[in-house]
Amino acid sequence: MDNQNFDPLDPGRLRQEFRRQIKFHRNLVIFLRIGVGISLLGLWELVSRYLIDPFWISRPMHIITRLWDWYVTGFFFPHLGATMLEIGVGFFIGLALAIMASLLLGTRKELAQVLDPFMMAIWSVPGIVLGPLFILYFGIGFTAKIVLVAVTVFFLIFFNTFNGIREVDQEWIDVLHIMGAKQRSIFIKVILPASALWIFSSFKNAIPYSLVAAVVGELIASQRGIGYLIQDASGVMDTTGVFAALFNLMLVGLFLNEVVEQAEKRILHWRTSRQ
Amino acid sequence: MTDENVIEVRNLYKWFISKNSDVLALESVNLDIQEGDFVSFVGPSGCGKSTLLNMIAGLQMPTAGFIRYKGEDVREVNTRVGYITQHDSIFPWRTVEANVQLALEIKQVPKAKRAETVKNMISLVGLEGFEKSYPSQLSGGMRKRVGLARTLIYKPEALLLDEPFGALDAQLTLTLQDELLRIWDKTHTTMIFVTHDLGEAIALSNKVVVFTGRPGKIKLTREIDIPRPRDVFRIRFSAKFGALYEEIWGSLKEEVGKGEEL
Repeated sequence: MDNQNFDPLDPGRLRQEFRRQIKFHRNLVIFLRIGVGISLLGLWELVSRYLIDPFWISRPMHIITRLWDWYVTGFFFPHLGATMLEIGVGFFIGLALAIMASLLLGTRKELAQVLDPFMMAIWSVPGIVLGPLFILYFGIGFTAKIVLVAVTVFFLIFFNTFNGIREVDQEWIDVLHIMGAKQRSIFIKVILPASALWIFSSFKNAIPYSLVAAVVGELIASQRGIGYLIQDASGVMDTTGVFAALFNLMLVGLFLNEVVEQAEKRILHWRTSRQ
Repeated sequence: MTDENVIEVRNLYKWFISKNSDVLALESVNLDIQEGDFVSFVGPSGCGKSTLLNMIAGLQMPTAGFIRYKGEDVREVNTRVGYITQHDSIFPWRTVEANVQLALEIKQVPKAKRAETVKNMISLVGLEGFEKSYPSQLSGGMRKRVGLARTLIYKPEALLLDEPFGALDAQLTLTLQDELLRIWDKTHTTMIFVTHDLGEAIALSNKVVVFTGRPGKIKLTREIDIPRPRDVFRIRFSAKFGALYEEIWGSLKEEVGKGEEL
């Protein structure tokens, strides 16, 4: 930078330069990301043309055509709707139960002590393996998947929140006690907001798992959903269909993560609004 | 100021029993605190002065003996006092304003009536302009002020302060001591102030209580007859302060270090 005409008391030019560098860096990252994406797809396209039979790995152009077809004819949307419904309903049921259970156990030390070994035993079983059982109980419709999602989400959020509540600073609780607060206010004014952090961090974990639970449920037995599409396509050795479904699954996952991030920004704004 | 005892401590003992050791924290403590008084507890760390404060607040119970607050046994949390600890323990998810009005919410003061009180309290502690800030945006000293305002707002009959300025730098501590004195001059709320800083205790109080190392016993109670209003910035240069410091330190220094051995 040339130092002629530079007023040492005016940082304007430095700031301009600083902004320019930041912008350049950001654009470079975006450009490189697009480059990496296109190269990977190009490599895949080439490999499927000259090295490996697209029967096994399909081909990007085929997948794009298939996706286009699914979206334009509207074929895909009932399946997307089914999976989203299972995730949405299951997630909220699991979440509500987990918060209630963790508040109940987190604030009653004796009860938690008695139940501790049972909770650890249940915790060590991945919820997803209960899928076949739920299909047996509730049939191949939505209910079994909703239950599976709810159970998976419940355990993930419950354990995090439960530990969070047990670690709420006793001083915060004492402050309210001395102000004459009853148990209910202590709940609402300290325990809930103090645990919000743990609830949200477990949210973030639970979101991808709720997707996994719904899709696994659909893979086991179903008539609709993204998992059904995968199962159906692979059943007729249609790898293009499998990859098209996987691509959509990826989009759903990204979307759900974005939702959580936005919600976190709104609700935990006190934490991020550092100046 | 009246001579009525707000707090009476009689023949108080406190044991802490744990798996590996039994510790006698307080032994045979007797103490009277009058309405509107400003009393400081000093003593080596581990002498039980904070424990005594907790018991006056009803957060811990004595093993033997009793504490009376305005003639009533303290058997549960004492909601007539205010308590400020070393950790500011203000709620990070609430703005300054919302932290300060916490007690009003709990006492179910209608919203319309809160605003005025909150505003006055925020200006009393000098936090105008920061009403909407979150604690993460405030300095340590400002957070202390929030804690003070949050406690003063419900007009507790007595204020218990447990090393409230412990973690602050020297200049800031002086400023806040000055403000505390100003507030006390205005309100004459009974103050019980726990500190490990003898200078602070003398500068602020009417009475300094010296505790022995563990087990904590009252070793000395000394009236501080420095006239008020006091200037905390200059009080240390007065001959009277020097003499009192010398005298009380003579008693305290034998105890400092005893607590460390345990």
